[in-house]
Amino acid sequence: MLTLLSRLSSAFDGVAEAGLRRSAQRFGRRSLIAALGGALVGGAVLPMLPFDRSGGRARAATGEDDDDQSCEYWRYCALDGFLCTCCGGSVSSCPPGAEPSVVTWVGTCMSAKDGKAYLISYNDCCGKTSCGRCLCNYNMNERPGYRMGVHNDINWCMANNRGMYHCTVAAVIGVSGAG
Amino acid sequence: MGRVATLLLVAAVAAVGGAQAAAQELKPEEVTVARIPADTPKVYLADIAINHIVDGRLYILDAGTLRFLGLVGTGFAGTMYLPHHGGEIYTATTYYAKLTRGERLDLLEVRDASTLELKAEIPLPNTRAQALNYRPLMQGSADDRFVFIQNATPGTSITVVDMKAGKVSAEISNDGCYGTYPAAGNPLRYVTICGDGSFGTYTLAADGTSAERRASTPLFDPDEDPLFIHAERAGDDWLFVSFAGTVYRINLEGETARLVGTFPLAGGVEGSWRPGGYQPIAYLPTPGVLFVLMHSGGAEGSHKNPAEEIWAVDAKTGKLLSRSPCAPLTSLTVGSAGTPTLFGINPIDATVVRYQADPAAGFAVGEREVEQVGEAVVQVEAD
Repeated sequence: MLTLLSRLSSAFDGVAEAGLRRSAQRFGRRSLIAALGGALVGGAVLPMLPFDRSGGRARAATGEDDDDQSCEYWRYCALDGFLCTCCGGSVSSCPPGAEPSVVTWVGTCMSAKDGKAYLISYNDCCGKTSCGRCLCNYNMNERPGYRMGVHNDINWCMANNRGMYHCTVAAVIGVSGAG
Repeated sequence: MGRVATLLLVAAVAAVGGAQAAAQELKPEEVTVARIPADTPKVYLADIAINHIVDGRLYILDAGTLRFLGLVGTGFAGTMYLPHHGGEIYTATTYYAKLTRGERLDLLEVRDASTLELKAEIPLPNTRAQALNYRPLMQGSADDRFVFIQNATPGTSITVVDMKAGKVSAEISNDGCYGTYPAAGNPLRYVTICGDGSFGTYTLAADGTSAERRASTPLFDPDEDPLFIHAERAGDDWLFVSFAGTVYRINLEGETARLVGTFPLAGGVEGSWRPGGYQPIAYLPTPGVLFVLMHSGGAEGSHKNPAEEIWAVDAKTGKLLSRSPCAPLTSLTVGSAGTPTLFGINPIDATVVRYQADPAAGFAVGEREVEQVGEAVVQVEAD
């Protein structure tokens, strides 16, 4: 984990590190819960989020969903891409034949089970054609490319030798410092 | 030869004879290649085709009827730019030697806008940002000489392509910043938006091989209320919109960017309405109306939510002119031909929707045509 964090920090030329600190400083638990609650209500009211075409699979987000093949799974609060859990991998492992991205974007998501906010590393899995299953798009604390470390509209396989985007995992890398 | 075979032969000879008679009356068709008449107003739809992402497309439709006119293959996460002169289409993309693996090759490709034939290809550094299609990721200088392409490794820089020389002239850091906004009055000037709330103004040397940079003071607060990177040119100014719904009019013509003014979109309106999507605003220059994709119940994380309404706002006074229900759109643009026309992308149904605005009704919009096209269109442009 430490290796991953230090790799994250160096890879972003300080941008992601700063973003991480900002996230941690900015979102105390109460404000995070309030913000997350608002977004989840929005997600439930809207027919679907931008690229979520899961149709009947989409269901009201409760924040207690244990199904890591569902877009509403708590770790996916800033995930934009194909869920690796639907592509032969798991929530923290790439599918066979793919490799994790060496740089990532970072989210801060709250687990309803323990009420804690966790730092989530959204590694893309790279080196194979796009998976095409379970496309999700949540954007809690996501920011445009001028805050690259928390931006999710770009191929995070960009620094791998095998640059093709396959799917995205959501690994817990720490507990948010604030809250 | 048996009796059956003899009968078949006789029948075949008769058939040939009949066909020859028909051929004398029928003029055989000649197979030709269509071209798009140069004066056809067009809509361009950039589709990242995320389910098979090496095979992106740029779809081209007739702006008047949404009739499908043709497409351009845009490879892996290709971006697009339509130069001012209108006769060509530029795309920048990545190809891997073995489709999904192997050596990476990035190219700027020039195509004729009528024949869609490839006219030139210019090698690019393989640092190009492989990203969803946001307009500022590929732009051109006011005189079309230079093209500016966003890179990300994830450190950010801008590739400057000299179209006159047909080659890259420079790769210039815009670290901590993203996208370009070319000045209208100085073809050597472009501006980038930065993560500390400032804007960086670059002025190129005449040969495009280097640039001087001057940063503005912070003009927005990226922590409290970030700006979308999609912006619309309004005369000498640009209109940006923030996640929470404040419009920023910013002048990018001078040596440093200058904030002209701000106004709220939803002041006094109930329902926590916010702008959302990938291309959430579009601008009608005459008489200066800003159209915004708006969703209710807006909160942190809702900035890419599809629209429920299109709001028309007077960009000079900030007055809300009209609110119109719409499809769940995430991108919007204004066409320049004829009656005020808008084109929106509905990513849920994978459709493009044409709307007409009624100047007599506060530019309220009404749906005219819907056409299913593509899979994951993010950027829409129109003549």
